[in-house]
Order: sequence, then C-alpha cells, then structure tokens
Amino acid sequence: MDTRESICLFCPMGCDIAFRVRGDEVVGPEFCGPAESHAGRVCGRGLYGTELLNHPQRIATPLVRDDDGRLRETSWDTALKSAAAGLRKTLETSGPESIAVVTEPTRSREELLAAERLAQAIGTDAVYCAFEPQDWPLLAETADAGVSAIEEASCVLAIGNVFVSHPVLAKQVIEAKYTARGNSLFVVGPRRSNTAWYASSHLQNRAGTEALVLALILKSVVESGKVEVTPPAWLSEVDADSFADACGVSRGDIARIARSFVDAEKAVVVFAPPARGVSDVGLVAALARLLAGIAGTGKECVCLAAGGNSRGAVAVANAEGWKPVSELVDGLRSGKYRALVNLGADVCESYPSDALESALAALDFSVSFSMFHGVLEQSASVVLGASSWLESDGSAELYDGRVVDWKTVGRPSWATRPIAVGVDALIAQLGATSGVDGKRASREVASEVQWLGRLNAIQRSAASVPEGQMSLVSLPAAGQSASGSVTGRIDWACQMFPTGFVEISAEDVAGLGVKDGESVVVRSESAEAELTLKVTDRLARGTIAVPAYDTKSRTLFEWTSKDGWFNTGPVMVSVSGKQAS
Amino acid sequence: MKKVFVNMDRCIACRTCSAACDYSHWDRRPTIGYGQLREDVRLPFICRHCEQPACLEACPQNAIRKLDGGEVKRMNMLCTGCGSCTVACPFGVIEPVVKSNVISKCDLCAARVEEGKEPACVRACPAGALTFEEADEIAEKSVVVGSSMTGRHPFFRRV
Repeated sequence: MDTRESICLFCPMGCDIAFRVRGDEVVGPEFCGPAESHAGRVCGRGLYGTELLNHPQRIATPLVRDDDGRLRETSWDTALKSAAAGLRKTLETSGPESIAVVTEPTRSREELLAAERLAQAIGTDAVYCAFEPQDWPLLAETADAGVSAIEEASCVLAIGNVFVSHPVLAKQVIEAKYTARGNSLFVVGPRRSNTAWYASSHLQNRAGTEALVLALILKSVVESGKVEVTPPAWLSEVDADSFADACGVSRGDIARIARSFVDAEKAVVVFAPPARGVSDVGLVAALARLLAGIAGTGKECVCLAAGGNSRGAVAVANAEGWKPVSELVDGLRSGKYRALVNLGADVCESYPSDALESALAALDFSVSFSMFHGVLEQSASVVLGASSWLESDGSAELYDGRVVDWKTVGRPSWATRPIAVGVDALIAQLGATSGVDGKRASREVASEVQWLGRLNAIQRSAASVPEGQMSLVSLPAAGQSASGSVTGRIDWACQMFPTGFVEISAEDVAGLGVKDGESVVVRSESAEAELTLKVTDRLARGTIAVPAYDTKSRTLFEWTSKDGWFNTGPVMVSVSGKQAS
Repeated sequence: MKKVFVNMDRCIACRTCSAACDYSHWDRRPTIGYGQLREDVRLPFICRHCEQPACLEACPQNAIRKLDGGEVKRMNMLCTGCGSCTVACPFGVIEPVVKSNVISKCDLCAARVEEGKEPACVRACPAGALTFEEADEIAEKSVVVGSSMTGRHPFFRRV
C-alpha cells in the first residue's frame, strides 16, 4: 500500500493531506501528511475527501434524458453529442447570449480556464463562478499575510468564528495567545462562538455591524496619537457615539482593543465572515487591511474565504472579465438564460429559493458536470460525472497568494472524467459555432469607495430594527464546507452537524411562548421555514442564527443582486410558535 | 503506558478527532463521542484505559481484557453488544452502538502504534489538544485534572 500526498481544497488553507492508496484505488486518509505548513493537520472536512471519491451516490455514468423525461445511462460519446446538439439548437433559436456557463471556487485553475474556453467556444459572455456570497468582495484586493503572521503575533483580533470556519488555524491562534499571555486574543462577533470562548475579550456586537466596530477601532488608534500617519479624511467625520450605540458596544472596550493592538510588537487581524451576517464584507475587509496598514510595522491582515480556490477564481474571473454570480441568479430567475452549462457548481444549494428552482426546471436545455445528483440534475438534459480535484492534476491559489500544485491521488471512480477533459471533448463536438468572439472587457473593480456613506448606511439599518423583528445570521461548521452541497452527503457530518434548527437566545424565547426543542416558524421577506428551536445563551438579544450548510435555512436569506453583488448582511425575520401560524 | 490526553485549554470542539477515529477503523465505528458539560464546554470523551476498569468487571462475556501493556481491549469475537460496559464506564466513553451487536471501544489504534505512529485522533487534531504521552511524564509538566483517581487521568491543563 502506497501513501500519496495531495492538498485539501475545502477551504483556502490548502492543508497537506496524505492518502493510503492500493494500486489506483484510494483506501483512506493517512493522518500524517508532510510536516510542513500545518504539520499534516486537517479538519473533519478534509478527512472526507477520501469518502467522496467512492461515495455510493456519485454519478457513475453519463446520463441523457430521453423523450419520457427519464435519465438513461449512456456512453460519453453519445452524451457529449447530445450535449453539443442541444447547445447548438439553443444557439440557433435564442443566440449565444442566452447560454450561461457556471463553475465554482473549489475547482483548480485548469478547470476554471476550461469554463472560460467553453464560454468562448459558445460565444457567450455569461460565465460565472458560484462563490460563497462573502468570498468575492472579501478577496477583491491584494493577497494577505500567511499563517506565519499569526504564529508570531502577540495580539490577534479575530472577526468571525475562525476556529470553526478554519479549524487548522486554532493551533496558531491558541499558541500565540499562550505565548503572549494577557490581552492577546480579541474576538468580534454577535455570537459567543468557540473562538470567542478562547478570547481574552469578546466584543459582542449587534449582528452585521462589524464594519462599524472596525471603524471605531481605527478612530481610536488614530486618536491615541501612537501612530504617525495622516488619518483618512472620512475618519474625522465618524460619529463615534452613534456608531457605538448601533453596534451595542462600549467605547471603553473599543479603546482597550485599539490600545492592545497598537502596543503589540506584532499583531494580526483575522477576518473569516460567515455566508450571511456581516454587512458589506468588502468594506470590512478593506477596513481590516487599512487598520493593519495604519497601526505601524509588524501589523498584518488575514482574510479567509470559504471556497478552496476562491482567490484563484477571483484572479481568473477578474482577468477574463467574468460577471458576478448574483447576475446569473437574477438572469435565471428572470428567464434571460435559456440554457445552462454547469461545471461542478450547485447553484440551488448555494443560493436556494423556490424561484430559482422553478427557473432551472423551465430551462430549454441544461448540461451538468457534477459529482452528485442535486436540484439541477433533476431537470438537466444531460448529466456527466465530474471528478473531484483529488482525481486530476491541478493548481490553485491559496488565501495568502501562494500557488500550490498537486498530482492526482487516485483514478476517477467509475466513468467520471475531470471537468477540463470533458469540456475539451464538448468543445470538439460543438465545432465552429456562431463564430462570435466571446472575449470580454476586463471587469473594473470599484476603487473609489464612499466608505463613510456605506458605514452610515450600516449604522442606520442597525439602529432601526423594527419591533418584533430579529436579525438572522448564518453559522459555519467545522465539519461542513460552505453550503454543505458536497459534505452534506457524509453520514458522519450529518450526525455531528445536524440541520433544521434555529438558535435563539433565552430572552427572545420568553416572549414567544415556546420551549427548547419545539418547532417555530421563521419568516423573512423571501420565504418561511419551520425549524426546531434551540435555546442558547451564546447569542445576544435580537439575533438568531441558522446553520450555513442547511439548504432549508438558506432559503430564508434573499439571494438576489444588490449593488452588483449579493447582500451579505443579516436579514430581518419574525419568529412565531408553530400554533400561531 | 501511554494514553491519549485531552488538553482542555486547547480543545476547540471541532470534532476532527471523531472523524479521524471513524476513518481509521475498519468497522467505521467512531469511539470518540462528544460530551457537553455546559453549552460552552464541549470536549471529546476518550477511553482512559483505567488501571481498574469498571467495564472489564461488568462484561458478562469476559470480552474486555487488560493487555500486558495496560491497554483495555475489547475482543471483537466475544462481544455480544449487551451494553453492560456502556453502563459501567464511569466516564461514559463507551458508545452504545449495537448496530452489529458489538460495542465501540477505543483500541488506542493498536496497528498504528505498532508501526511507531500516534493514534489517528492525536495525529489529526488541528488544535494540538490531544497528546499521546506517558501518564507520569504529563503529570510532571502539567496539572492533571482528576489525578487523585489513580490511573484514570482524563484531562490536563497547562500551567
């Protein structure tokens, strides 16, 4: 039995992971990878990699929908011919602009570029990457510091539940805390999370107001007079009292954190936002980078995305002029697109809504390269088995800008193929299409931003929560990746990280007349869901939380475009007992 | 003998040890459950391989034995899954899995340890909370919680 090494792409930490391999068959994980970046450590998610390769629910053969509407097994040649014929027909009837191509950010660079090639061959400019909502704005700027910055830091300011979204960082953060002692780990977040439990001080802010907290810390740093920089002009216009009121934090706590951060010889801001719950993620990331820049030498910033190759995907998308995926969701819902080619993404799990599901069912034609059957596959005309990143060579760009290459660890199971190979075969089948050059202008990233205006907007919405409404945020899990579309198929993850519940604080429950474990109905503007109540003392009054990996809970958030991207902030919901509904 | 220790100051309750245990045993039966003392305090419950194991005394089939090295081992062929050991264990670390009439029980990854490796849960822990050490050695450098209970030291704290 051999041991082969690869990397884990479930999050952008890119941990080294080793596998026991018999011939070309992967037998299991080998818990001792090379003693480099993370000393061979991976989290529960990373250990699944093996199970997914030989998962009984994997799409084993190419499938084509026949006239009866049933998917039938067929050969790759036949399936690719049907896919090409269907796409050509849509090209003739509706034109290339009506076809969209979508891929996702745990794909290797080669597969992302294959999506680009396919869009060019079709002649469409509609090519998308299904980022987790927070990832695109989070990574819009330059790469950040790596793990070594955290190891050496004597003060860590963590925004979000870092230990749960990226467990392998825990060792570095805890060691930094023990080495520095004293006030060395600060956590900002509305929930007393696992990370907050370790913190020297937890700043429990109102949901969605992280940007305001950072602005206040920045102001406090500048006012302390310990840094010799010219403060940005807008900072003097920040109304600290109204911001602090909107966040629900005291200015004394802010000043203490600011002082510790500036005084530390080496300090780092770690930002790991959940899928929903932090308003204006792009602004928070920009403020975190500004704070690290302004606070003097030895201060760094680390922004952690959810998707494994998110930074690589942002780079490809920006270079090639891809559109933000929120436009795809809007385009599908409005009927702009008549055909969809899906390369490994699961848009219904990522941005679930009834409207999107019915829009997908109403498409003229769709091809799906996927590892598992999902919502799109129920109506897709052609379904092709895709391999995971572990079954083909590839490269990816991690959160700190490092580029990693890996070799395949095992042969693709059954009749699945790597997406890049399948796409090239499909392009060959398509041949010359309309001849339209799908070249797009490079996407312009908004550089001049009205920070103060955006901060004031967050302040206004946080300060004016309507009576009877609560702010709904999503929670990451250590054993489920992002929307859980892949890891949700693992028994272990389902047992350890159950779905279908909503966390509410004891104070909020008192007025509802329901008890722990009973069903409640949560209503947002876009949907309503019946969920099991879990009373907790971890949340502040007025904030409720659902797991990010639960599709049913995700429908409560609205997934439509707002200012060119998804809204990443909390949504207002009302909660009532089941009887009342 | 060497045992698996949990450093309560480091455990982040990510449950990776449980996944690692799950994957490293042929019967796919995790032996690391999760305990919740309060909502804030969750930690892995791992067999302590007691010097005087209550599970051994409770087993009507003599399926649980103490090996020369001190490991408390369940003999798979003798176990009928009656659950007596589950009830007897003072720490609640034996999971009442009766799927195939066998109880799940930590074997300290005997095969891995023979090869000179650490148990899978220790190797996988991303926070460095689990260690595989001699009970005497760890007592010297840390405060062992519950050290008054001879040979059962479950957790330790750094000083």
